[in-house]
Amino acid sequence: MLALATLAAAGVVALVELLLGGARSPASWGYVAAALAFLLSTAQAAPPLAFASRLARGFWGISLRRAADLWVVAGLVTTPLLIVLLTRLPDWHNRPSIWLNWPGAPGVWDAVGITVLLLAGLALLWAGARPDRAAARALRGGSASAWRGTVRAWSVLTLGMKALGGLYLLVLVFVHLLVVSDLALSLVPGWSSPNMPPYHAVTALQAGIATTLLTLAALRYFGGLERYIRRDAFHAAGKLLLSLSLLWFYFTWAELLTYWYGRTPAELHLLDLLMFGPYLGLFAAAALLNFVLPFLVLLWNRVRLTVAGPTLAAALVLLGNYVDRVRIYVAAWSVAGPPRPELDQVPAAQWPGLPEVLVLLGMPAAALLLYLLALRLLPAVSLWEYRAGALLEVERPYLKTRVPVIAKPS
Amino acid sequence: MAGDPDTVLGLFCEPDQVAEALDRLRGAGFPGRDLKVLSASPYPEGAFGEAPEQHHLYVFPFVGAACGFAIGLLLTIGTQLAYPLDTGGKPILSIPPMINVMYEGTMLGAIIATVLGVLFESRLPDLSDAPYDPRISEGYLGVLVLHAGRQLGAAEQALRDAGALDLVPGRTAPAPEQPDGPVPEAPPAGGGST
Amino acid sequence: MQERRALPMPKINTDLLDFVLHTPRWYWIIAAGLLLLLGAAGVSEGLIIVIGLQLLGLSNVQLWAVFITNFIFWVGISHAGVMVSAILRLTHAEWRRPITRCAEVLAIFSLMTAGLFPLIHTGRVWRTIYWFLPYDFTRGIWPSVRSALIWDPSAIVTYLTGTILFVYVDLIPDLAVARDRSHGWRHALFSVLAMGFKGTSRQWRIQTAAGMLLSALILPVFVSVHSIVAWDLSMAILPGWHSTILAPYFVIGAVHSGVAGVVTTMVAIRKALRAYDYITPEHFDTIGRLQIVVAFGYIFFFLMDFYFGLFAREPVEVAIWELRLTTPPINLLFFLQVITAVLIPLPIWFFRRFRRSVSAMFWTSISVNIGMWLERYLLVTNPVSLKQPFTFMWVPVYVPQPVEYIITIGGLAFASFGILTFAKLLPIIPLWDVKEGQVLLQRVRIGRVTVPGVIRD
Repeated sequence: MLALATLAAAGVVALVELLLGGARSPASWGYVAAALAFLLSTAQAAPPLAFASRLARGFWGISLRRAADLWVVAGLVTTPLLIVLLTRLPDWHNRPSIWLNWPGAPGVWDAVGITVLLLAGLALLWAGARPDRAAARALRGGSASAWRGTVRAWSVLTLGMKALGGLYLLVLVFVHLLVVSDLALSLVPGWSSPNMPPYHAVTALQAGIATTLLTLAALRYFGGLERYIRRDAFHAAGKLLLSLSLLWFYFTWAELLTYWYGRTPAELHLLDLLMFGPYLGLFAAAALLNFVLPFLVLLWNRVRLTVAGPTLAAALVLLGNYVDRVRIYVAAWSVAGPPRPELDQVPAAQWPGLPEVLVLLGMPAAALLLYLLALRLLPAVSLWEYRAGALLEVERPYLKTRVPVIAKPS
Repeated sequence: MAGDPDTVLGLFCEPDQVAEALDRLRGAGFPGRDLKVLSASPYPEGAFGEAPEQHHLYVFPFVGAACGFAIGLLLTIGTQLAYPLDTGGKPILSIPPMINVMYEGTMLGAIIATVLGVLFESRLPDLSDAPYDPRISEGYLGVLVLHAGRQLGAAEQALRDAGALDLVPGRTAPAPEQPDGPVPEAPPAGGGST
Repeated sequence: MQERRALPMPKINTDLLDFVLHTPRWYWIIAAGLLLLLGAAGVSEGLIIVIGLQLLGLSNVQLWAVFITNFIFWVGISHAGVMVSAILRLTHAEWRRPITRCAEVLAIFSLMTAGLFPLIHTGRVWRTIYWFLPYDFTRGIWPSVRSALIWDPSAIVTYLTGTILFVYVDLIPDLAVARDRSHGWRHALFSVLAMGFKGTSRQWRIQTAAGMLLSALILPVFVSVHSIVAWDLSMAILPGWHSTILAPYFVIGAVHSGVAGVVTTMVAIRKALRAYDYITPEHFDTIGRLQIVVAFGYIFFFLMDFYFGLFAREPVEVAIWELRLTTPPINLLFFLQVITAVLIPLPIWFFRRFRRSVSAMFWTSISVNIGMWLERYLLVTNPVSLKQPFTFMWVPVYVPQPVEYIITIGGLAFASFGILTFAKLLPIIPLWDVKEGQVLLQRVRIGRVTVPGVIRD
């Protein structure tokens, strides 16, 4: 934790230095935007996996729900980071954007959006942890809590978790739309791609699953929770990761094909800027890490049934997501300037200096530090959901074998 | 038609009886590969104490995909070179459109090969003379003993001891035609404890 | 599922094979009516071939209209067949059991219907083989894979072949039951098709493995087919068409209309086969919840298309939306689209009472498909109509002609007749799948209450 704290502090110092005029070019802020987008796509995109498992009543998800929900604390890093970035945006007057000259846009509304996301996430975490906090208080012999555990209370809690999870998912998708359109699309002349917001959201869900898988692996290995964090969580999340990795390719392909076929000079410059020009290496690395390698790893059923297989794929996706965000946002900020109808030339690659590298490392370190601190306050596995799941999953003899039986009450 | 004289099929009402029959037959020295359970629906694997079925179905999609990919590649390259039409400044061998067609070819090859694999691994079409009874479709369970040879009597006894409702021998005339309509009730499906 | 009853296997066989083995009077009436509509469509097509495409309302501005709309619409309907069947199979959803095959059959016949429309649209239908078959018939002309239109045959052939094979593999055990329950020509037919299936443990293991494997293989194909149809439009540099989002937008729209199509088919099958014990209100409730999720996805992509159409404030893109929002009668069709595709059905699906109502689900599914047809119509016709300034003379605004209406209705009749014929010849509710559900059904005691459970194999 000391190392994380040091790295986080260095990141904050580097950010302050950039703010105080240390940015060599607008592309420096592209690195800050990439760090923001990375955290938004990984840590803050982890809770939807827990929501999906609650909605589908998937028993595989019991051991991952709290571990995923805890990542909402990363919002304490991304919220101020976005607010800082919004002050660095170029002049918005007459700039193509989704706001259509709406007053206060984009600064006020983006800040409101990410704040609502943070609050929704914290509400989700708080609500879901109520029974466990009451149990912990009782164990310590503390004063009685407001949580009573009546039938009505449980009913309201389970329904409320689903409602809050759904709200969180909707706000998350909306914030991804805001971030990619205001911090990338609007900065690049001629880049009015409606494919980018869903691409950003879907790849965020992919990286969110990867984040959760890595967290589970760490908790299993370092936290001594092998008995509670089961293989079926890795198996199920691995299948989802495989399908979302295919979707990474699908959305990228849709973008590439449309511009390649259009072949107008503006579109060819866009392809050059984002894929085949100065950031070709990043694009190739992103394709390899987000699609090719995870696909090859997760294709095999035997590998998906292990803990190591999905974990390896998750690590690749996490790295690939960061590379991809750097590609998009640095490229976008490198051409940020006065609004013009189309991109007429593609600048050379903008490599990071020390401040940018410290921000890229420091911001995720800060989020991880907050996560570890949150683990001191709440158990990594949701005790009440685990107990509820245990009631509904039994193993019993069936003729000459033993079978798992899943109860499905209405 | 002349059936296989070394086989016999025992019909049972309950899954427990099938499990007991298999135990008795294995105890009498019949190898597992010569014992087959026939049912109208799948049961959980290992429910009757049978060894897990080994198959290689998962190889077929890869082989088919490779063939489909190769055909797609040849087709796209061949047609583009055979009719080199400059369309909108795109190169003659344009990779993005080739990928679309090759992808479809790959998937078609994988699907067709998988289906062929299903037929192969299921040993279909089954042209053997092993006995079968239409009551299997109505919920009865069958235990088929193959290659019983001189131990046919022991097999039949083991099946009777396990509670077989009927024995269908291998050397027999074709099963009587079933009329379209209601047939004798079989116990409801489902086994194991509740 | 909570409402499942224990059903003996002979009852399952009798109930689900009754329509295959016995023919009720209403079948002949419905079939005759559908054949009549098909006949009318055939006559219209004959007139188009003999007289020419001037019978349609097309012009040298409006080159694509109702027939291409129908093509896209029916490809869309075909999507949910695989979506419902494959995804629910892969996620072990128990409620899928009675409805997977009717969804897959809907996919097959929708796809066949879709494939007819580009052929009809060419006018001289027989010349199509020179264009898309990779064979040098004459003059050294080969299909150009650089044309997005060539990707369509590859995708549709792959999807159609895959779905037919998928249905056949799944049908084999039921053909064996039909073989055991029939006599005469039916017995001979089912014996050949069942290929001697006996129901050994090995055969069942391969069946279940094949179901998962084929589901996993056909899912990427399902995504690619409608994406390729979308790329027919988006590869062209036409405002309103040349958009990066068209492929995923089409796919989610296809799932939206396709799931509605599945609901319509479920209602029809339930009524025709009197399958009230098999397709229950709980099935409609669950599929209604799925429709809510899909509808939200559709709304998201629709809004992306709208916002980013106006994003850059390009005059031609703005003109498309002005046409749709402010210019009658286009704006009336647009508002009707939004109302029928989303505003009417979505609020209704939020209420469990309506989700469990078969008639409410039926009428909302019809509403969705009316809206989605209009959506495809506006998407196809509006951008093309804006090419008007590039012509040398004013051409009349496009109005669909009688033959287009007749052939459109004929398309509906073709798909319906196909599904009806399939249900008449082969079991459309999977017998073995339903029986497996019965085998896996368990009861679990929790305290004083006993709840239904299922064995997770």
